[in-house]
Amino acid sequence: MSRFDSLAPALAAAAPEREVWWVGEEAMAWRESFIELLRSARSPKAHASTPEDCPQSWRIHLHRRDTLSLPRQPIHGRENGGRSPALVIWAVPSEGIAELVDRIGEARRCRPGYEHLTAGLVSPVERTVLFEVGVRAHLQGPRHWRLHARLLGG
Amino acid sequence: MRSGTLPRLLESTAACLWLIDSAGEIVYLSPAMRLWLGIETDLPARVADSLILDRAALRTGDAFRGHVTQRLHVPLEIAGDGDRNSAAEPRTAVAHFVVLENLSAAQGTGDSPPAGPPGMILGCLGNYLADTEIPWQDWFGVQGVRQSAKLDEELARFRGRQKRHANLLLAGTSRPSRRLRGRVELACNIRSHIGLIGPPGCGAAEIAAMIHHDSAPGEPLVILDASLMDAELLEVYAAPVIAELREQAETTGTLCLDHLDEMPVDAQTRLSEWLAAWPQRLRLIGIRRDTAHRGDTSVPLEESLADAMEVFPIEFPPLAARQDDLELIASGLARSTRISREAIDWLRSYPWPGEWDELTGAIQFAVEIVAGDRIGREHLPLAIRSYRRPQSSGSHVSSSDGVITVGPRPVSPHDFQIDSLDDVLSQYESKLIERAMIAADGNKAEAARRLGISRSRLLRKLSDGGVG
Repeated sequence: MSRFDSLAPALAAAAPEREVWWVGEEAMAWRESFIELLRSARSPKAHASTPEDCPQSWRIHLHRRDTLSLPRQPIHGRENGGRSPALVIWAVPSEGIAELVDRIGEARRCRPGYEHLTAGLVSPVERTVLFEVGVRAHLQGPRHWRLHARLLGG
Repeated sequence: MRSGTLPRLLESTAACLWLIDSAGEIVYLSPAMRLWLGIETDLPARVADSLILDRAALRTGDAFRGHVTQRLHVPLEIAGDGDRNSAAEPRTAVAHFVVLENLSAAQGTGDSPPAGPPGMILGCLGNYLADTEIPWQDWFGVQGVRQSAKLDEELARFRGRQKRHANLLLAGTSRPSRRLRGRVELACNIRSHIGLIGPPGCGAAEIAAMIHHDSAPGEPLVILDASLMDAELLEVYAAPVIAELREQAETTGTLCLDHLDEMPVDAQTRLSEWLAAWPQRLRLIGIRRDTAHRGDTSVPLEESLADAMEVFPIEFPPLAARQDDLELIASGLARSTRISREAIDWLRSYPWPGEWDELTGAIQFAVEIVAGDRIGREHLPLAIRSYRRPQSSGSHVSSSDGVITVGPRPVSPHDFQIDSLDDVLSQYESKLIERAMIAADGNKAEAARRLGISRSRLLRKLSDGGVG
């Protein structure tokens, strides 16, 4: 092994930034625990084996549901360079999920390339509906983030 | 007969409730329950026996469920008659039992409201109500009823759009599409386990939903990403189907599991137990990637799951093998917007590595940016309109002046193409730095001199990942 081999990690390409769109003003406890998870040693990045496996840093965009404007994501296989897709985390409104279902469906149709998650209290039937319209994971409790560490890149 | 603060909370309801302590004794009966039993004084022993739950019923195999629903047969006691009246027909009702000890354990986390002492079981009488019998407005208010109706409407609209997309995915006259359509149409007419296999983004989720709604309309469906499930999460998320199967002898249900080939082993074991427990009533629709696209995260399927996936496998052909169908499919996706002949040619020559998802995304993109009612080549995403089909590397035959030459195709200046100039330059630079570091035996100052750059610039390149 040459002395240069030990420098290989330093030569590796810089890990990309992972972007998250947090939509809605509810579920503040979920948001705080999500940020806390990223900051803490239990962050998914702490479990990654190589820098490419997980994002080095996270950028969280906060949006209201009615003003959400998602940028287009690369949908071509070579364009995103194998990076994990950007996340959209929808806070569940207290008055019901009907409007949320509509907005998630619209976002998935018009802006493909995102992973969609929901956070907040819903009934089992509502959760089933959310999964049917394309939500990959639902966070029923603020402390459930680590159950989905794999989705976050860990 | 009363213990703790829980009975005081329970007394505020008009429900038929009772509490069973850890010793199996009934420690509380709500007034409504006393009225239902027709009891004014102490609870007769044989009535009490009929209300007590055998704790073994709370377990399924090794799994502790924490709740169970049973049919009760309560002997009728006639007021004023101290003797047993064995001739009277017992009263029958559906009872739900919930163990409160789990709630007590969770109390320390602050996630749950206060509950009764550990080991207590709460019993409650109640029959299942059909949707039409539920007093929605009384229970949920006018706003709640409106929300429910709106949710039904949104869901119906989503399903309609999804079915339209699924039909478009199956459209076409090419042989692969006819074969796929035939398999899917057959699957829509029978209720069996289905294994969908295809490249990522092939639209299998839309087809899975279509098959379910056509083959078992109204049957409960839970769609999950299997790669994210461990046994515990699977139990919770699949509950709308699994709980019904446990508690209703006649019901059926479907689990649709995406990324089934990445399902963790413990979740596979739980799923296999369910399939063994309800072989006919639980239907599985699994979506797996084809062998060409299985990665490091792929997990071998347990035998029973692999068998279930072989009952009715449907393989999705790559979109690139359906070039003849692309005009029809793209026109359907674009709806009222027309697609020019030139754009169709570009769609047909593109290899579609992202499959169906990429096609729908590309047409959506074009429809959004087109100003008129006709999509041209310039409206397609850059990846498609800049794609050049690789030239064949096979033998080349040429003839001139009566001489026929067979050999490799001569390289043309027009053949030149690289994926990314930055990537190539970066790789080349990394190799030069590596050679310089080896030549300088790891001495960075010497390596910088050999490369003709300053030491600080070399250090910056090393720390930046070697990209100049």
